[in-house]
Amino acid sequence: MKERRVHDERRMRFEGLFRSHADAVRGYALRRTDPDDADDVVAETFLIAWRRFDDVPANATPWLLGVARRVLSNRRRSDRRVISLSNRLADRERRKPDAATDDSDLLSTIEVALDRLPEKEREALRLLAWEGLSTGEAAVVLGCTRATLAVRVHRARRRLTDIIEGHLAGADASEPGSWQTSARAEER
Amino acid sequence: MTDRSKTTSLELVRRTDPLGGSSIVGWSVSPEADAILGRILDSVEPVSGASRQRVGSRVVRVVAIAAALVLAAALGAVAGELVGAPAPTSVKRDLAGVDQGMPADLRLNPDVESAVLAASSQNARLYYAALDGGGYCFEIVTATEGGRGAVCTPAADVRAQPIEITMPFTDPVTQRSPIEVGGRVNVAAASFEARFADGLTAPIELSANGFYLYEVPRAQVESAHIDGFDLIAYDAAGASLATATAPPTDFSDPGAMDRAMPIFVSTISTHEDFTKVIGIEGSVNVDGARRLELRYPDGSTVRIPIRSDGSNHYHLPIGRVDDLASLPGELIAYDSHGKEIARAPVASVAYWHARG
Repeated sequence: MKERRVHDERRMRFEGLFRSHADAVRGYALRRTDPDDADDVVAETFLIAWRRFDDVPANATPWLLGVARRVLSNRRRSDRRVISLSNRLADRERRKPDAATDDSDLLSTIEVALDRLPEKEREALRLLAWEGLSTGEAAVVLGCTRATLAVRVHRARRRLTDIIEGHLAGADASEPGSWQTSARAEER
Repeated sequence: MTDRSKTTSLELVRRTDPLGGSSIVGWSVSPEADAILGRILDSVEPVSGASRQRVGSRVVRVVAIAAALVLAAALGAVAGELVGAPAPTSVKRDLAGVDQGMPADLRLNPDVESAVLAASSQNARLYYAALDGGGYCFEIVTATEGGRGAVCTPAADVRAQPIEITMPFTDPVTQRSPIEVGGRVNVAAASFEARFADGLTAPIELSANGFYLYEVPRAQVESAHIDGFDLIAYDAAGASLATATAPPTDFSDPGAMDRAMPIFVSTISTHEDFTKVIGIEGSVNVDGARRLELRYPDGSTVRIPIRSDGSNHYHLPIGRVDDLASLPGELIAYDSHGKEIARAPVASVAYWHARG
C-alpha cells in the first residue's frame, strides 16, 4: 500500500515536471530541428528524465536541455538532419521577400557568422540569446564549467563582432555579398 | 559606422531566433503532449537507489592520446609522516576516481583512506595517497576552485622526472592570474628554489618526503606567465641536482593545438568502464580531406561523416564498443582521389593507460 502511494506520488511529480518544462524543451528542439523531430526529441528527453528521475535537479531546465542536446546530437550523427547553411539561407530568403534590405542582409550575415563559429561557442551564444539562460545554466547544458562557458561566449562575441563590423564596412563600401564569397572560399 | 554596430552581438543573435523570440506556451497540455507523457509513464518505472548508478553513468569525454592521461612519475616509500592531516572526503573521492572504470589489472589502487595533507601554501593544499606497490597520487586543492584533479605517478616513471610540476589554471587565464605550482622533487634534495627570468630566486619548502606547493609572489606573476620560471633542486653542498622549467603560459586559443594535428580525435567513454569506447569525435584538419574511415583492429572499416568544418562525431554500434579496448584502431583520412593523407590511432582510455 505504501509502495503504491510512493509510486503514484512519483508519477504525479513527474507529470508536474513534464507539464512545466515540456514547452521549454520543445522550443529548444524546434529551434534546432524540424517539428516532427522536435516532438521525438521531447519524448526521448523526458523518457530519460523518467528513468533518471532521482537525478533531475531542482532547477530542471538546464539539465533537461542538456539531455535534449545529447538526444539531438545522436539523431544528427548521420548529418542527414542537419539543414545545410545554404538551405537555411534559402529559407530565410523565402521567409523575407524584402531580403535585399539591410536588416535581412545583416541577419543573413549573422547566421553565416554563427555557422562559422565552433559548435560549442555557437551553442553557448544561442543558449543565452534564444533560450534566455544564465551563463551558469548554459554551462550545465553544455557540460562545462561556468568559467569555460564565459570564455566561449567571450570568444564567440568577439568573433561575431569582428565579422559583423567587417560586413558593415563592406556594405558601406557598396560591396554587398563580398564577405559571403570569401567565407565560401575558406570553407573549401 | 551605423548605429547597428552598437547593438550587442547577443541581441543580434537573438534576432536570428527561428521562433522569432516567442516561447512555446501551451503545447505541454496539448493532446500530443498527453500522448507522449502517457507513453513515457507506461514504458518503464524510474530507476532508483543502488541500481540507478548504472543507468545514470555520466558520459565523459577523454582525449584519447597518451599524453592527455597525465600519468606522471613515482616514488616508492611514502609513509604517513607529512603534515599529516587527513584528506577531506572530496579529495579522497577524487583520488579514488583515478581507478573508476579501469579493469582490475590496470588499477593504481591509491591508499585513499590514508590520504593526508602533504604540503600547503597560503591559498592551496596538496594531499597525497600512496600507491599500492609504490608511487603516489596527489591532488591540489585551491581556496577558490576546490580540487583540481588527481595526478598519479607510477613508480616506473620516477627517474625520468626528477622534479614533477603541476600548475592548475582556471580559464580565462590572464597575465595577472595567480600561479600555484605543486608536485614532488624525486631526487634527494637538500634545498629547492624558484628562479625567475630576472634572476630573482625564492626558496621553496619541501616536505619530509619531497612534496612542495608554491604560490608565485604577486610581483613575479606577470614575468612568470610571460617568460616561465625554473625550479631547481640542490644537494647539501649547493650543487644543482635537477632543474625543471615551468613553461610560459599559453594565452592562445586552447583549441589551436588540437587543430594543428592532422587528425584530432577524442574518445567518448563512461566513468564506469574505460575499456569501452561508445563514441569518437574530433576533427580532420589536413587539407584536402574528403573521406574519413574508422578501421577496427580486425580490419573492418566504417565511414565517418565529416562536416564542412572538418569536425566529426560518431557513436559506435553497441556490438563494437569493446573492439578498441585492448588494441587500437585507426582513423584514416583520404583525399578526393582516394589517396590516404593522414591517419591517427584511436583506442580506449584503458589501452592508453596500460601503455603508460
